[in-house]
Amino acid sequence: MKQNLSELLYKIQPAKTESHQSVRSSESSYWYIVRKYSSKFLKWLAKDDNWKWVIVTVTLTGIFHILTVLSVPYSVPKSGWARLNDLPINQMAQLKTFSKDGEKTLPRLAPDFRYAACRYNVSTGPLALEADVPNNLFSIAAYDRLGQNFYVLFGSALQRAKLNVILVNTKDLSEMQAIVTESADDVVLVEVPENEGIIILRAPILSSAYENRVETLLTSARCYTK
Amino acid sequence: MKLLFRLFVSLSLALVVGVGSAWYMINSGSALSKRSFGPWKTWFSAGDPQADPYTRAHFSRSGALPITATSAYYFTAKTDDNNNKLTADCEYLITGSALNYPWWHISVYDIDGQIIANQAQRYAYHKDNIFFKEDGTFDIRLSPTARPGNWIPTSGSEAMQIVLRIFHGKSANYIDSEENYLNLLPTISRIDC
Repeated sequence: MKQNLSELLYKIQPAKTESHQSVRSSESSYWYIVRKYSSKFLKWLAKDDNWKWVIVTVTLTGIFHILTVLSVPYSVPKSGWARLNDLPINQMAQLKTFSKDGEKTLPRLAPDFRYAACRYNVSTGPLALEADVPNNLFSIAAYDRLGQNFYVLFGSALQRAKLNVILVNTKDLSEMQAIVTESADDVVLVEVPENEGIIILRAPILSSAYENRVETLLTSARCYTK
Repeated sequence: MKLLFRLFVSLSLALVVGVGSAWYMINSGSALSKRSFGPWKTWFSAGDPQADPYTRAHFSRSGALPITATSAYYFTAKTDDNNNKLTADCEYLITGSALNYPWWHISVYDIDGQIIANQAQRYAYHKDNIFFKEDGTFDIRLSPTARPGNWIPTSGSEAMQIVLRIFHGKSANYIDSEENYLNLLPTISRIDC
């Protein structure tokens, strides 16, 4: 390794000839600096096994980088899940769009929407969710604890005035599918990836004339364990 | 002793660079996770269960719960077209054209993502309440003082951000090229400060 580094150093060192000054003056200053510091760096690498420490440092940098990125979703104090921590489990609650008296809500809620949220836990059984659909842009979105949106349904796709959703974990899915098929109700069955998560209902206010109606309909939405 | 010193330097450097670079990429994004179109930025895997780790970390940290790009696009601008930071004490003009999507709107927030309170109770414009000019384009003014037409009041002097939401509902007008993005997104120019 040292021999190879020494050979490389010999090759990149500027030639010490009478025309050396004229050669250097004709090169761009950038490449001159690169060559100068490259040779110094390579000399330093070859000395005292410094190259091994460079490899160790680069490897550790990568490890710290990866660990930081992967650990952030599990450790942040203000994730969506943490911000809704005081909501009751398996009950619908209205989300405040506006922050009053310093009270924080979820960030970037649309001011011309109204929101309701249900923190769910289906470990003890399926969760039923019922809501009136005020318009085609109404949506129900389901998130896991890390805030990943694994399910979304808009009113335009639902084509009904009333939303009936059942959230079920993988364990209870087949049993619930049989029940839903037998009852022939217009029920949307959603399999959740984990027992805990958040449902967000979004209802746009298309004009100020509909504001009260939208708020009333959203207030009547509910979620409960079956 | 020399070995311990080298180990300490190596660990310290790795910690600073490793954690620092991770933090930068989570906050500011990179070509792996974010796309930029002038002042508008979008995390193209926002909310997606298959999102890359940087996007997942970014949105976990912000606390926002976006709908995935299969149904909605989110574009955020924290600077104007000349890369000057948006601040609530300056006046800005947002100019754009009607977007051919089921729903879209433009709203303004402070840097923490909270709506900026104002007495006029104007916080956003959407496709059904925005006033279009004869040529089909629109202007929205952001200003602490009243302006005619489409105007969103701002207050204070803190940094702010503009969010453009597009609910495309899996429509056929899927954005598939950078040119389409640039034609779609409004311009943001600073009028006065």
